[in-house]
Amino acid sequence: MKNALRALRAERGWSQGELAERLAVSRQSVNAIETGRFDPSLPLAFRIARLFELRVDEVFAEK
Amino acid sequence: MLLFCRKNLSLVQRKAMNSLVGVMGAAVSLTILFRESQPVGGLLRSALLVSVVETLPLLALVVVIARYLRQETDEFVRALVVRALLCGFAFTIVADGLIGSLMNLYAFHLPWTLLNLDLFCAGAMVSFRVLRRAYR
Repeated sequence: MKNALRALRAERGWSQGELAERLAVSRQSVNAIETGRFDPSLPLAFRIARLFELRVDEVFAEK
Repeated sequence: MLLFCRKNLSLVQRKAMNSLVGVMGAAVSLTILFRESQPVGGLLRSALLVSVVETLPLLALVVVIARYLRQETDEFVRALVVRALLCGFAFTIVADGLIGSLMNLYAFHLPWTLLNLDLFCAGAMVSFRVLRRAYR
């Protein structure tokens, strides 16, 4: 899936490590999601969306 | 493997690895213990008992893995571990076939349970390292 995670993270000046800490996942998880190599589960997708105060479909989109 | 990647492991992973060390230690101890002993009394009954006891470390390994997967909160790491375990299975199956054929051809015997445990753990851990590196 495509996602706007990298752009959203950059807007807030967070590193991948910082975002990973806020989401309680590993930095590799954040990297894998950003590069589209791993699709998060629904609970994680909702946590990500909630963190950025957006809807899930505003963060993630089908390819 | 534990010595090489200890600093990169989370607390849950380190606990699982420590349990794994215990399992491997038990497997080695049982293999040495039963290698030196001879079946006594009813041959089949004692042989079956020895076989069941030697299988206990394998069951313990399954419990350790299941417990770790339940405790791991990071779903990406959980997915990587599952993939590594599948690679470990594949590695063990192929190695089993190869070693089994050699054992049949040359009529020698190896401690099968311990060998399978070693092959599986080594295969899974190497696969996990490789997979983790690919997502660095």
